[in-house]
Amino acid sequence: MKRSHRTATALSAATLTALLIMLIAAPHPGKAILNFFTGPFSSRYYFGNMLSLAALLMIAGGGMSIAFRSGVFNLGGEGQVYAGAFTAAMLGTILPPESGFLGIAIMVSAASVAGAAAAGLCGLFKRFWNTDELISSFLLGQSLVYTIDYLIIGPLRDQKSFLLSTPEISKSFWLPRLLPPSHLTPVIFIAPLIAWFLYLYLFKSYRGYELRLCGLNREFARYGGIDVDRHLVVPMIISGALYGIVGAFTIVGDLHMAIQGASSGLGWNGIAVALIGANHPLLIIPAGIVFAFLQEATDTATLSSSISMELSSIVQGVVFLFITARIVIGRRKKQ
Amino acid sequence: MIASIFDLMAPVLIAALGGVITERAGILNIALEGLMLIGAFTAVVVAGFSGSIILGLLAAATASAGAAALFGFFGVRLQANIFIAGLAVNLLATGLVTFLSGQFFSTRGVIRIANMPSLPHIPFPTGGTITPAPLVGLLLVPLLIYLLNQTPFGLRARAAGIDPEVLKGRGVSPGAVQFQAITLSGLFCGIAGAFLSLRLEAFVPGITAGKGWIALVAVFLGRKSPVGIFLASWLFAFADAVAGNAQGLSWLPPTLMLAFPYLITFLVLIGASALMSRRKHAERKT
Repeated sequence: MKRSHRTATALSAATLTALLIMLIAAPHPGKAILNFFTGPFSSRYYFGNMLSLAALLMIAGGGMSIAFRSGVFNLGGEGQVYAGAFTAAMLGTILPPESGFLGIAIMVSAASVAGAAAAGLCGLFKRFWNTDELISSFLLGQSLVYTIDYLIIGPLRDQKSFLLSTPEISKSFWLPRLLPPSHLTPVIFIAPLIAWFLYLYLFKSYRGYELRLCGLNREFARYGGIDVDRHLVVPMIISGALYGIVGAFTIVGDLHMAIQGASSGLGWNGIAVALIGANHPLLIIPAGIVFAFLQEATDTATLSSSISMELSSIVQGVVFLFITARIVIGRRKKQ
Repeated sequence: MIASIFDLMAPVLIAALGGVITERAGILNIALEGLMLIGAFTAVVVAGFSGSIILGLLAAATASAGAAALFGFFGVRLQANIFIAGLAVNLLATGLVTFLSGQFFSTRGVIRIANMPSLPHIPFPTGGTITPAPLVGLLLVPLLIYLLNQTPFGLRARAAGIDPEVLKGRGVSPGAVQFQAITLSGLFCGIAGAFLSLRLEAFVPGITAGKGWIALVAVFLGRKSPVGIFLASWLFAFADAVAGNAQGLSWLPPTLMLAFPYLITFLVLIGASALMSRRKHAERKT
């Protein structure tokens, strides 16, 4: 089955599942289903938030698509986003408020380094000791999540606040809001730009060509004289760095402090977006919007009922199940 | 302390023994975690309402095997990326369990049922008591050695992992064998998860806490052999118990302890792969 058909199947299956669950569980199913389709467009607040989420998903998904293209898996996204957010939030309380834009640049860069280190390390272990990067990145990511949780609610917690969070970053580091009261920020312009750069790297550069060859067939690429080990480490670093940047943007754009659980599924959703966008950096842009719609739709539809949190993870699970499946009825007859 | 290590070991060991079946059949099973969660939830619900531990275990095994069959259907029959499908099972398991718990128990928190039966406690030679879980785990080790090495299913599963073409040549569908292996691993995970929650006599959100992943690492560390897996699971349980005792001494904050199983597993994984790769290099030189 064609990839586009597969994507359509996955998205419709996910939507149908969400609707079905609302029919069973929501107190007013009609209202919930109507909210599902119209909710994200019903106000500036929801619409802005959807675009804001889409921007973050594009960046996360873009990084994952580079990793997938090279045939490596980065499963530590949750930890890398969290590490980026934490790094940015800490710097935001230390850097002098006068540094303004430069300060934001430092925060974002440091966050990308944090994310890149967490992922790149697993790439290096893969390169030198053949440690399965899928498992090592997940384990390291989870340890990061719990360690940062501890730091936020433990020694670095803001004693004056009622929230489980670190102190607020200086106001001069807050990104301007484009559609108040939603938290849409200029990140919506940065995200497609990053996607464009990733596209140039992947399809217009020599290294990108090498990387894609490695993803298609690593042994063949090795015989072609390509340094295949390089393309174990570099894609991990790129995906980790972009996850770290996503974390920083959640801080300067929206949260303004490191809150417990700030990564909130962006690490997993990055994988879903990369797959919906067929691992193509430019297709990641619409894929990010579609997935952000799905997420916001389930959230707004079930805001008043008791099923909101788990509904998005069920929807996500269904997308994952269908997105790479080949529906094989026609294919078997040919064999 | 030794008795508690065996109790901590049991769920990881049983899930890892399930994982070795799929691993030998050439399937990377990252769904162990989600399958265990389904087992843990089902066991508490069924044991709580029926008042029978045995029924709880059977229901947990059936539910997880069913979820594993879905995983197998997508991963093998529809040829979805096995890793993505496994991720989906983990996400769906978390979502469905929270959903069902919200629907039927109106809580997303701890589920405790009034007439919950207790696991029997057996005295342990060095003091303390253990539940039957470690005994089940230890019995399964020789059973699995026999299953993998002596039975037609075991041989076919291993052939599916090594060279599916050979199987095809013999007129056996490698996909069907892999599907059976996945379903069987689900059955193991169901029992593993059931022991987690039955020991607590309650279902707690996040009760598996990465134990499925640790089981997967135990499969690799144990070099895909049941005895090796037993040793690896024991090592993890030992680390867990040491961390648990450290928590008792309260010189480390409990929130930080949550990171420990993952961190220790990560370090052991890195260490083991470093050793193995060095051995390979040495072999190449001689």
